[in-house]
Amino acid sequence: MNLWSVLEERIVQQGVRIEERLNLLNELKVDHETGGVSVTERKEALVLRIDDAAACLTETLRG
Amino acid sequence: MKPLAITVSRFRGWKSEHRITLDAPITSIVAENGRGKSSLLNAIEWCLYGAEVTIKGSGIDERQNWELRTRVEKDDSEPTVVMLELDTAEGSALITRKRSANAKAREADQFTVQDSNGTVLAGDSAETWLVDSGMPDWETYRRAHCFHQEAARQRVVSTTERSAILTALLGLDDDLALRNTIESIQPSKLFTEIDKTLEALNKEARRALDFPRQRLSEIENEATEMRLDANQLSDSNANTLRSRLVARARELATRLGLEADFPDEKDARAVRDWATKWPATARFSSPALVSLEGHRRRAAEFDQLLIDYQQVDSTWQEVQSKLQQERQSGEDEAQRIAKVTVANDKLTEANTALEQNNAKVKLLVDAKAAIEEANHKDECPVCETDVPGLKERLGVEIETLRSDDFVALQAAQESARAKLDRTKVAQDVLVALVSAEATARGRVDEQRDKLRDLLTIDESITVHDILAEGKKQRESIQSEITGLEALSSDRDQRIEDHQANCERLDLIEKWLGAAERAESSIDLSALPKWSELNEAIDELAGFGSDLEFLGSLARDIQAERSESRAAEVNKALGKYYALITQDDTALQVSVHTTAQHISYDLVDESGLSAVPILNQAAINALSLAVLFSQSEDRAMTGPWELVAVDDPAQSLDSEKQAGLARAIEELSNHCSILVATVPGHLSERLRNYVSKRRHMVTLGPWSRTDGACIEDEIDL
Repeated sequence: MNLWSVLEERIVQQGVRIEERLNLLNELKVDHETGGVSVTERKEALVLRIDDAAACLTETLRG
Repeated sequence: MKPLAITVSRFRGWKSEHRITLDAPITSIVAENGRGKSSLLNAIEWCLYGAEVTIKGSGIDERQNWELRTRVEKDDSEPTVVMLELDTAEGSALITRKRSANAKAREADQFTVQDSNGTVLAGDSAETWLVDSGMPDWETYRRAHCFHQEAARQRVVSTTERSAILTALLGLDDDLALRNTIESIQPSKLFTEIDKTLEALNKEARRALDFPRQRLSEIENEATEMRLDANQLSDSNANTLRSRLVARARELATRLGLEADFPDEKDARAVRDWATKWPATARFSSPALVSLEGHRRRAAEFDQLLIDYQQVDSTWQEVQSKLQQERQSGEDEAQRIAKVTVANDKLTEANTALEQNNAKVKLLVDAKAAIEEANHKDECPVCETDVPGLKERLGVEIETLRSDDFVALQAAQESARAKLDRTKVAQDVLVALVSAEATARGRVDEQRDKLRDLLTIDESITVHDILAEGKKQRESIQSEITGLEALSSDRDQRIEDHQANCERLDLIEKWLGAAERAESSIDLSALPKWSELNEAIDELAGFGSDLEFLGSLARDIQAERSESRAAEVNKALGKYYALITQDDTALQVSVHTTAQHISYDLVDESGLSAVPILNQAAINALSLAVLFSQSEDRAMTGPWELVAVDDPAQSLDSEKQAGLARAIEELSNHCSILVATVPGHLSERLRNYVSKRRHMVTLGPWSRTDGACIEDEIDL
């Protein structure tokens, strides 16, 4: 059984956030196979969303 | 999939086209140094991986960025060509890589694949065919399918590289890559970033809460300076001030005759906007005050004319008075003229008498001179009559005329002249006074006419009345001026009051705004961005925790898989190491696991790291054993079935070279092997002591004109 199958099995066994973790695992697998960076881009997009929202709230607080 | 033959042309030391078959389980290229055997192995790498082996490294540390062609072939315009004939599951295929002699550095090679159907693929399609056929990538190839002495040795000697190559040997490349990917994202750092963002927002929120209170306090201090007590800082007071501002401005506008628009006093913004503009409007647009300057100019004109009139009138009065006094003091003009005439006549008489006296003296002097000349002392020179004592008498007479008479006549002349002068002076004074009186009177008339014009009254009005009218009108103008000045002053005062009230109103409005802000805290949770932030944080936290979880899981699984595969690897590694070295030292893969990392090493039976105590030959043997173990594993799991080893016998004695030949024979059970070596014990063993089918190629001396050449080629 290869690494990815074992990981999938353990994620399901663990029983927490199964769908999210399987999706993330699949993303990592695709990146690994294609040399892509979609997981890194997803992280950067989330960080950017937080930064934008925080900047907007800061502006509101400063009136 | 394995290569059946290689054809090279214009590749490094290989000039003219040569084809070497690789279909035997073992192919050996035997040649002295510098005859092109290593280049042949490099040609396979270049054909399969192109620029990766020239720009990024050839796989041989000391030969990075090696040149494709020898420099002696500068005039050769033929392209470099390497072709690999392959045996694939679908049939035979041909890979060709070609590069023109004058290709630019960034120019791509011409890369084609002719598949088993005869279809020729080029460029990206050819590369894709290669990947789809299961060809390992360059990193895997250089680690598991080729052996360059220095690189292989380095991989075993370096702790990090040794761990990496053992990872591959254990078949845990994917595990390592996955964990490296997760670590590169640094999931734990994401939580720190989230904490920092939230902390910064909290800080802003605290500041937002404190700021209005601080501002309120500052405004209250300003209010105290303006003498506004706390009770006046109210909405009702602001309304009162607005009403007052508008009402007083309306009143002022009426007085100034201004037609102005006024805001609704209940509209705070409108009042504020209007209030800032009102002073300018009131100050510069009043029709009532426009006449003030005109009145002032007219008053000034009046004042000047009256002053001028008074001056000329006073002068006239003075001259009149003097003239009157002069007239009263003596004669009038006619009398003075008559007196001058008389005085003048008397002077003429005196002059005549004096002249006669002088003529008489001259006659007597002439007579006396004639008597003396004639020497007739008593004879009259005219009548020639003797007059006794004539000469003496003439002398006495002359003396008398010259002295007493002359003095008397001269005095009379002086007296007459003096009297004439006095009479003339008196006359001149009177004439001058008469003239001055006439001039002064003319000026009075002139000023009077000007006053008449100014007052617009006719000529029948007397001077007295003119002056009275002038004074009356001047007083009237002054009254206007006084009234307008009072209005102007009142306007200025009201504008000043307006501005002061505006400042108060502004302060009260600021206070009301600040008080409202101080009393109401911003409800961040009500803002859409707040929920967006929380969603993103939740998502990032979930993403981070999932990544951490996967990282931890991957580490656990890698550790488990390491243990389960170690025995198999140890067996293969031990087998090849023992074959080469004839040493029964049991080298084993050791797994070191920490909370974050997993690393590997080779240890001896005592569990200590084996590499630090190995000699050069043992290290070389170990690096070959590691390669062969990997090659065997790759041959069983992947499609590529060729291992190319370049000069593997370095540092190995004859016994170990014999062992190496046995190891090569053992590996040839799993895949083809291409061995490049110098003539010696290894080539001898491969030629005479191996039972597998083998193709033995001997290269002849390299020459500048022909390049590398094949001297001998046999199949055994």
